[in-house]
Amino acid sequence: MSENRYKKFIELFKNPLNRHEMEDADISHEGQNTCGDKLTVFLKIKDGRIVDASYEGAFCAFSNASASQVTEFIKGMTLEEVEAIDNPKLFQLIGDDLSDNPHRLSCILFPLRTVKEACKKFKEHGPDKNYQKPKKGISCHCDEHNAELGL
Amino acid sequence: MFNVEEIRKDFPILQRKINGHPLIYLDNGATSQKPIQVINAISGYYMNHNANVHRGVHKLSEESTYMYEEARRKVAKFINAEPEEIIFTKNATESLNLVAYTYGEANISAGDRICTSIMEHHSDFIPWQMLAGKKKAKLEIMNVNTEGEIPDSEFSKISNSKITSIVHASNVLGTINPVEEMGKIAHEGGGKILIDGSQSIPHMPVDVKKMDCDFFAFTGHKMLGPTGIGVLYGKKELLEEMPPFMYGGDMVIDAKVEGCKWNEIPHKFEAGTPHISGIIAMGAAVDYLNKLGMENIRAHEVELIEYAFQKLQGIEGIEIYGPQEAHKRVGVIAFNIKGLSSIDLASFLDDYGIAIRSGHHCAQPIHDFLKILPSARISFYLYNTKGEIDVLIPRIEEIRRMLS
Repeated sequence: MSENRYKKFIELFKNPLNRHEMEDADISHEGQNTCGDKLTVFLKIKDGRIVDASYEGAFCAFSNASASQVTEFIKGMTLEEVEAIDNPKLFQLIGDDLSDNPHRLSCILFPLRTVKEACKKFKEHGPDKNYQKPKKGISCHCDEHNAELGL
Repeated sequence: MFNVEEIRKDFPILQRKINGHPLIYLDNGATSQKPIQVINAISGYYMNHNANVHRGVHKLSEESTYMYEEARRKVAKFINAEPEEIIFTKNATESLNLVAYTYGEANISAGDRICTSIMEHHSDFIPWQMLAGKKKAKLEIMNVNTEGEIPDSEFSKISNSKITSIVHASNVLGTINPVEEMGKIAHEGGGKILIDGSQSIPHMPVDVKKMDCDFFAFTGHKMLGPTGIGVLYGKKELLEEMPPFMYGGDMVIDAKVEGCKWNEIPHKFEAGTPHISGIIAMGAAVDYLNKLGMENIRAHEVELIEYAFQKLQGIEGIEIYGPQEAHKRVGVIAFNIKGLSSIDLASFLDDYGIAIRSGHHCAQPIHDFLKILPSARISFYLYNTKGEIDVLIPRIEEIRRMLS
């Protein structure tokens, strides 16, 4: 039954760490997964080391759980150390390699990929303080959401 | 006459259990399941008749050719066309691309307008987007209103266009477009109309003469047929004028070093050995649908849509996209539930043996236009039941409670 099978994910999903926007980030980067999910990573970087990390966007529970673990894990790491994080390490962090549910593998790989893209962007172009609000999709067209979208 | 329990016995896969639960297959918009009659048509062909078509003079080749052309006659009759107006392709995507690459290439020039809509599947959007870019033509995109319908005010985009390519029924919104009216407008403006019937023809009667469309594209696998087989209908006079799509065997009648003379339609557009077994099985699928009656299938699905709407609307935080009235739509219901990702919903429903689709459904422009997240989609076919909807709803509620 799904609740037991994914208990760990559900716990992480319900109580994620670092899920917030960071207006004073040194770099922010939006990644898109093949399913259409979007996730923005925010990093504060000092002397080549990540001093703070967070994320926000519109994504599934598995990506949320993974992003929570990844952003927590990379705090204090150098950009090179982040680059070296491989899938087995990620599976260890999450406590599951999704071998019994391979179609959700891309969901858990997605946040790490986005973090690495952000690091690459920082290494190539340096800090970018142009804070970009994550593009959040909506799941309903209630009055509140319509106002938010200017509809 | 339309007895769902009897119909279900023809579909062996519906006996399967998935994760310990009886399969509830609600992903018919992606592909339909196949009745034993279609499965037997494939194996029967390979066991008894297999040979290449239009080539040999031996018995097996004659039988294969007869069965192949018989399937073409069945498909033609099914949509009220002539057999030579039926071109077999590998899927609806290839049918749509065929028109863009042949009719489009030959007739669209710089400054011309091509009309399509924001609710198109990528297969009917990208070919025109690319053609417009290549030819420096303008792509006119008809938008939808909050009901998920194209308002009349958008129709002027059709009258100004040399070709309009429009989906008959949306694979996200379910909207049935007024293609007959759109065709009239296209013709009054001197343009042509191509209809993508992938989501309509499996579920309702289609008459291309009554519709007076120039082209009609669809696929076999969504209407009980096998994968790898699609159809393009085109008006005879248009197909005769059009250049070939691909070159090779069977499409040429006289191949010389100095030049070639193309075969007659439809063979001009069927280069190479076709998917013979698939086409014969497609004929069996048409027989199966005819036996049940397309009007009866539509009536059954309208009942399911009404029932599902009634039940889904009780779920907290749900928004269903597209027309709310069953007669205005096909049995494709896309929705989102506040705070619940569609991929999570689909993935957790699978644990209970329930198959639904999540994501953009190869129709990202409509999601972007409506500014909505990737959606969850249930889609019905003739073997689905109200009982399955009764199992689905509490499972959705359960997952919603678990994840929010």
